[in-house]
Amino acid sequence: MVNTFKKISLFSLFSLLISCGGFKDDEMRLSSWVSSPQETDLFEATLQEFRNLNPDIPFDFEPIPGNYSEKLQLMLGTNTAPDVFFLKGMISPSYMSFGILRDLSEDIATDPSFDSEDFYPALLEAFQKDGGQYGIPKDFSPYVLFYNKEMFREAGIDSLPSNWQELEAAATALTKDLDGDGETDQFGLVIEPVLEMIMPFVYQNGGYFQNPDGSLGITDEPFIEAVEFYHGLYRKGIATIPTDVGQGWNGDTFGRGKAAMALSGGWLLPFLKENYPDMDWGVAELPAGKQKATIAFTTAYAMPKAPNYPEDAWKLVSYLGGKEGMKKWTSQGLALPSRRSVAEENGFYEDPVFGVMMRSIEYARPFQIQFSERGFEEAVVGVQSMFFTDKSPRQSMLDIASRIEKYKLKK
Amino acid sequence: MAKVELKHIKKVYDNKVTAIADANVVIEDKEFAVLVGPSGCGKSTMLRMIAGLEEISGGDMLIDGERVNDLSPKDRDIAMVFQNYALYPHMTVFDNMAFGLKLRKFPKEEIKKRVEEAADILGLTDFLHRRPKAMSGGQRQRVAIGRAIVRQPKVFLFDEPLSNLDAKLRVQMRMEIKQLHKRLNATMIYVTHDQIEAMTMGNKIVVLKDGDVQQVDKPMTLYNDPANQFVGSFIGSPSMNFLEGKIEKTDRLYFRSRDVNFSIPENIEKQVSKLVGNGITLGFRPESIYDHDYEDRAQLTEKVTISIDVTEPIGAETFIYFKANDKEFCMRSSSGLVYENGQSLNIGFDVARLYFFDSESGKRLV
Amino acid sequence: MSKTIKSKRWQQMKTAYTFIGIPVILFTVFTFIPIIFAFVISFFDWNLLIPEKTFIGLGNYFEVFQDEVFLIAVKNTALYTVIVVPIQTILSLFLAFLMNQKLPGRTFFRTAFYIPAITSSVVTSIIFVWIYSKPGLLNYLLSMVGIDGTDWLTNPSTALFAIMALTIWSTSGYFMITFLAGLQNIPKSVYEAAAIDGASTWTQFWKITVPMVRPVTFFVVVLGLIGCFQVFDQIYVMSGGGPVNATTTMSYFVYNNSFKFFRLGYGAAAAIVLAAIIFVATWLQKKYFPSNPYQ
Repeated sequence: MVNTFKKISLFSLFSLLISCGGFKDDEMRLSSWVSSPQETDLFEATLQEFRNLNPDIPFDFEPIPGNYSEKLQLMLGTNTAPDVFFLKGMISPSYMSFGILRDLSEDIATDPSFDSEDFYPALLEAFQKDGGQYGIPKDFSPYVLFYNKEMFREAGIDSLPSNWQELEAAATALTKDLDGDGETDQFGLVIEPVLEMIMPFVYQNGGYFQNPDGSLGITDEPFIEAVEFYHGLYRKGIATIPTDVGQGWNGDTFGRGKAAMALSGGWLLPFLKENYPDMDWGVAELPAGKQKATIAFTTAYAMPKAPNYPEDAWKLVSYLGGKEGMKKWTSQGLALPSRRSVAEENGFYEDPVFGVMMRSIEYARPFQIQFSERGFEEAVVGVQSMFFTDKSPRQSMLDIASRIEKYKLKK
Repeated sequence: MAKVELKHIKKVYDNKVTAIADANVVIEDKEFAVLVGPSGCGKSTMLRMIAGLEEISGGDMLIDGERVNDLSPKDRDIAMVFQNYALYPHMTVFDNMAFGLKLRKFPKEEIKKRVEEAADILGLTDFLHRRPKAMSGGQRQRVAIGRAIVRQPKVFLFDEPLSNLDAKLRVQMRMEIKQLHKRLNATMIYVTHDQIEAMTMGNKIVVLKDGDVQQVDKPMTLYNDPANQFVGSFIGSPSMNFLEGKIEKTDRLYFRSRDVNFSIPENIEKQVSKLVGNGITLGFRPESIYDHDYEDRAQLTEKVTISIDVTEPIGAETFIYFKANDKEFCMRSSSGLVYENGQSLNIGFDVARLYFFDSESGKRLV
Repeated sequence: MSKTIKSKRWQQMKTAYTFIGIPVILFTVFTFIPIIFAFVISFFDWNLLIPEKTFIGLGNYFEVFQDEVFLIAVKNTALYTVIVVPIQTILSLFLAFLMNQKLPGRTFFRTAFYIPAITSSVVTSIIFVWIYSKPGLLNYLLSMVGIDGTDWLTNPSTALFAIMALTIWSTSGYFMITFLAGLQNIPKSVYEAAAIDGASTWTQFWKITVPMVRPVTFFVVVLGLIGCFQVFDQIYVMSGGGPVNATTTMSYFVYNNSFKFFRLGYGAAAAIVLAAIIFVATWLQKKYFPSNPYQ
């Protein structure tokens, strides 16, 4: 009896330990998040091309549903991360500062066909630190101005706003009480109370979230002016936020005709096509402030510091991020290529909608924060206090400045 | 005045079961009335209708001449003692008894006075600050009675209050309740299934069976003059013997059954003559059977011979069990003689104590 | 003779220990050890991504108590608990009392009240996001009586109360069933005696039912306290801790700092503080409001 007991306990302990420990995987692994079925299908087709060209490199594609960033970070922390994974531009600064990504400069240098000059510099820079290259941008999406052509016609506006004053004037003309009940039914613009949508205005005004010298820019005049302008549109009643009209995001707000203009990116295109196919809309470059600026969201292929199959992984990344792979991936217009040559070849510049976005990349800046997640969260809270309490933008920024200070990332 | 009248009282449950069809009972002021009957006869239902805990489906319930059908229990000026005491376990004895008075906004001094009085009567003075948990069954029942007393209601209702107590305590409490009745001089309605309890406690007994009132009378009247076979069998222990047979007329009137035959005595000849030909159940109590050879009573019927099964000599009396018509009968003999099992015996019946019931309806004919 | 008895007893004990042993091992590995682990790493600065863990002693704890957001979280959690637990307890007891009476449609109502409790909290949270939105159902009903409602979840002064209402709505059914079981233990005759004594249904509720279900009340309050201190699902789904930290509770704070901001040591320290607070609260309740069964 005692012997059996010992055996059982030893066995259970053993199996527990085995499951905890990390074994070397049999195959290279690639992970991404899960978005739309179209994207998944297209990506798998691209991967299949790679398999056809490289039958000797087996790999497992494991998309991660649900909380991608949290799951990825857990994997990174426990040394069980896949060899290749998607990395969002926004958080790449913190990942780079933790030193958990592989520096791909060596791989690039020894890969003759790669041609890193082909990339739009802003996108490449988003994944650079101290001379190292930690990710290969796969695509991007900039903020552009979506507008409702019919509403513009009805309001008699025949030119698109090109600066802040014109934007405000157009929004004012487009804000209407259609049924005369005293409530506005159509707003000129829909904005979201999120930091990323404010940043284009900040950059256009010459401001920074974090100045080039590392100090916080949120209490500097250019920043505050931009925020006051942005917030002012809301307070004046010519811009609305989605929750005020019972919508989940600005895409629905724009699609349902609650607002004539919206700031959005490439992701809105399939959404509108599918849900509001009869809508007559167009895109324009963002109106400029003191200068032209917008922000771009980009994602890269990245590798953990010590992948299981570094050479094979690079081959995969080189294909996916190379001209061939990217051509296939962006062929349906679901994403915009980060390589100039691919954009030109696939006719992106000629397309009325994509052309606008491609032109925007020339002056776009990647959306990134050089702060830890906590710091970003504090900034979010600051923006919320502006919109949901009576705090003025100036006061909100001053209040969070001190809180954010201590969350700066180590340089 | 606290007279309780039930006029054509009916109780039907919503699944169409009629518990009580048509009850008519009058309980006078200051009477101690007992509702008695076997389980399921409707006695508790009747009591609860008087209390207001059950809806009355039909008829009129009057307390003190006032129709109370639609009054809630608290407006009927009644108090009830439950079988399981139903004390408030989280309150002290004092608070248990004071609860009803507090609710009616009696002044504090009055409450104290009444509670202490009741406690005194029931011997609970030392327990006033205890909780029911710390008391015995008998004490708890006294608290329940005390709770009723302090209310000084028009009518006291008791729902089998002694059933949960042990035999010895039951006998003692029976006496106490009877004394309480004398002392308080109030109308009390008492429900029990125990006919001994009914006989010893009540001035008036209401015998119930299957929702029907069988007979309402004083105890001894019920004993000596049962209205039907059921009452006859229910009251009295050991219970009445029954024999089925026929009345035949040949040269005289005879009672005929397989094993027992005798001629009808003169004093009842006339009445019995009307029963010729019908199926008759003859009833006679154990003590109405006599040893024919020993007893020299003119009041006995002619002898009937039986064979003794078992005897139980308990000293002052002997119980003799015998079979007739394949049924067991019980005889109570105080002759002092010794009887043997299997002995053949001649018995006779007291002519004044013969009861003739209709075999079908059970109704008493003579 | 005694030797055989001893070995037989030993046999029985071995079997007993084996049976107990397996769940104990599971409990140790999956509950006990993680708790100890959390306690240990609360003294380290560790962000999971970097393998080095630096020992910083009580550094995390000092920072926690000076963290504005943590203090807001404590305040929010306290407010949440102090409002939800009493309302939830009384409401569920009252509902149980009603369900115990012979009212028409009883079974329907019993089921209706209980369904929120067994519906996924994520599902109910999402439904209520819609109900609470500016053009949502709640504001529609309010407009019928002339009240102009806001967006209940994005207004910092109403967001937490909106979530409180949701919690009370969904858990009252569960505790109602618990109280119903307790109520069945009260003999009907006690209520009848009270009715004869002159107690109205309202009085019966307060003077008979409430005192007699005290042990159940204690149970419900303790579970309610623990549940409130740990409230998470609704906040994660409905408000993300905002707006402006208005709905950040202590458990959400721990989650954020551990898994969103990747400061596991810091989050662990906050979690230990949370656990200590729950412990003290339960101990205080046991001391000053014991269940004290009278029967």
